[in-house]
Amino acid sequence: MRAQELVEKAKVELTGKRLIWNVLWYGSHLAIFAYGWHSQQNNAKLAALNGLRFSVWISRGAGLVLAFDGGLILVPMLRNILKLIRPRLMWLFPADENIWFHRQVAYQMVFWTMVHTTAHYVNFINVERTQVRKQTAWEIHYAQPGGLTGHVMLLIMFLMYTTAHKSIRKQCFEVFWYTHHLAFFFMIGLYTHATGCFVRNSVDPDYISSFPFYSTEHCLGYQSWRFTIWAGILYFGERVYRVIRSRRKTDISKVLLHPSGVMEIRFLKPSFKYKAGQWLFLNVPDISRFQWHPFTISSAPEDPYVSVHIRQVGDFTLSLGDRLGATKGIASETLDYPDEKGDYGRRKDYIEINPKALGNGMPVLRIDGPFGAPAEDVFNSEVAVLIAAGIGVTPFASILKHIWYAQRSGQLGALRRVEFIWSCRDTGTFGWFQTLLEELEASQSDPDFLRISVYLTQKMDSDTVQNITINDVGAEYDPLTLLQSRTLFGRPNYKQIFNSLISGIESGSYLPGREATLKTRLGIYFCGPSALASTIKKDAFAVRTRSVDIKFFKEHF
Amino acid sequence: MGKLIWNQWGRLLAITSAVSSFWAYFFRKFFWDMVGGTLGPAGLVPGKNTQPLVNLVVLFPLLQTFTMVLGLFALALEMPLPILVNTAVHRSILLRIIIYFMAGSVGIMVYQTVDCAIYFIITSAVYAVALLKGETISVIGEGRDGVVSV
Repeated sequence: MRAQELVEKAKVELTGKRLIWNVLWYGSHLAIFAYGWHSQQNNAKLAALNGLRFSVWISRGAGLVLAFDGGLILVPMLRNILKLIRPRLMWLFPADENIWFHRQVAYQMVFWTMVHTTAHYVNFINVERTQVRKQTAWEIHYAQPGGLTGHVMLLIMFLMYTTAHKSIRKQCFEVFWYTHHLAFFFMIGLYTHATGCFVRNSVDPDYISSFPFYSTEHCLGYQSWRFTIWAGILYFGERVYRVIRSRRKTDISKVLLHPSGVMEIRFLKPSFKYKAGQWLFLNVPDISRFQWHPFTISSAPEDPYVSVHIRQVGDFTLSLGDRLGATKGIASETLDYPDEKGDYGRRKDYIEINPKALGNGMPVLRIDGPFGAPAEDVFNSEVAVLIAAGIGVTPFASILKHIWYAQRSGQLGALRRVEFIWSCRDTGTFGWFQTLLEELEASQSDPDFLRISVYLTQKMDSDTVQNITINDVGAEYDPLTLLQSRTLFGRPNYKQIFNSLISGIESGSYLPGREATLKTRLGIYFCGPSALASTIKKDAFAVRTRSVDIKFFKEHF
Repeated sequence: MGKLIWNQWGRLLAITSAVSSFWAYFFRKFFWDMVGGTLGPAGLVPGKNTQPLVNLVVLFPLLQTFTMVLGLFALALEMPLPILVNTAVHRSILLRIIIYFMAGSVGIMVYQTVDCAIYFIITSAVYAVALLKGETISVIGEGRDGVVSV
């Protein structure tokens, strides 16, 4: 079984885009390493150092690779710049996978760090033994800038990598988040790593009084900081800009409490421009000055306000609920569904909360963003299939509303039909979203434009099933979702869904009046766990035909 | 967000510390040989005062073997070796604090394991916090709370 999995994985890594990536990524690292080695070995000026032979060639090669990675590591975190260039570069690389890329750079860094450091341990002890320089190993390690910054960077990596591990990030995001700010000192260490002039052709370091305080005539390092520092400067600039931007005028206009304790915060921020499907960072200084939490924007750009829906699940969201007076307790007293008797009666709506009633005034809200991929692309497809799994439904609130506004103003572009598929474990948790779906469904003038399918995957006891069945028969609305569309039970069979879509399109019944000679574009937008994303992608591409062009997009939330 | 489970972080630190300790058999060198040593044309000549310890590192690589055995034991505890899983040894935080502190104190003697010694001391301190907070190492294979694999 294990071997089979490995073969499967190898197959994925060695085909198509993955193969190109692997060749480019590992190839570039190896090539840079080889170049660094070569340039050291053949540098006549550094003949004395070359007496150290392999260890110095390896350390210099790996050093150049680390300069490359050190320049790259911050690039995927330039969120604002990435957002700007994303539309133009989407064809070249998946700009939404920036964190993934950041991790790839980090993995390379830790590997080449081991190579580089090991080689230097050998270098320094050989410097001491051969006395090519009148120095001891411990001095180079702990009393010279190169060694010292290196050891500090190692210690920082020790802390940063362990706290960035998935398990720690999941159990306590703050520990990861705060520890990761050691990157500031790490980058300073990186940029100043060569200031000790270790790579030189003179007996003593050739220090000068002006910047960069060593003479490049005798200090023959790569001078890589001249290139890599720009990513650091840009990143630092971004962080400063984000602080400034987040402090621009922001007012909470309304706080609504939905069933299951979901809070909706509506705010006004004139300087905040966003597109459907994007997300933001939110900070409430009253609760924590330094914590920024990501939330998906649930309003459409056309709405007169910006809103986020917040489930009260963690420390931060619970204390935010307390601060606003929108506690889970109030929600369960007044709104929850089903009530204590297990009655699946008409679901209750929301209540408006006035945070000022607590006597603390309206809390200050800081918003940083927006970030992420806008879903503008929806309007380039004739058919858009929006698939959400569980909590992944949140970006679709904004997207569906946005489509609805576009529909009203007749600016749908190429878009002719929308399929919305949502699979979730239990309906109760997402009461607020059903309210939205209900409104959308009710406002549809064209019965064919939007089709909603809600799948309930939870296991139910026979009593509940009976209860639902009794309520369902002959009723105009589905008893669970209160939509005209019936709730479906079990997991959606995507292969079958795509198959019937395609045959519907090809036979002309799905899009009446479609030109058979033109290619129809089917856009699939998915938001949810990445394992499911790849299965759906596979299923979708399996049914691709000559007349239907399928595009797959993964939303990030 | 939730609370940090210190012993789970400690586990990741311990694995990292242990792996970084396997480097000291070539170019054997007692780290503190500069104390009383003299720098000659063929490198540093240790002084008489450190000679016994130098012998323990250079002649008989005892100190680095000690660190490596402790490092291997750390791996056996943290990635648990099948025979150790859920035994009292595997679940003892106090034992870890002692072992990692020992690994740290010995590691600081050898040229190549100084950094690893510092990591072990940090790891030991993190486990000490876990102990003070009254954490226990969860039983593997029971529910979802088992240690997450690396």
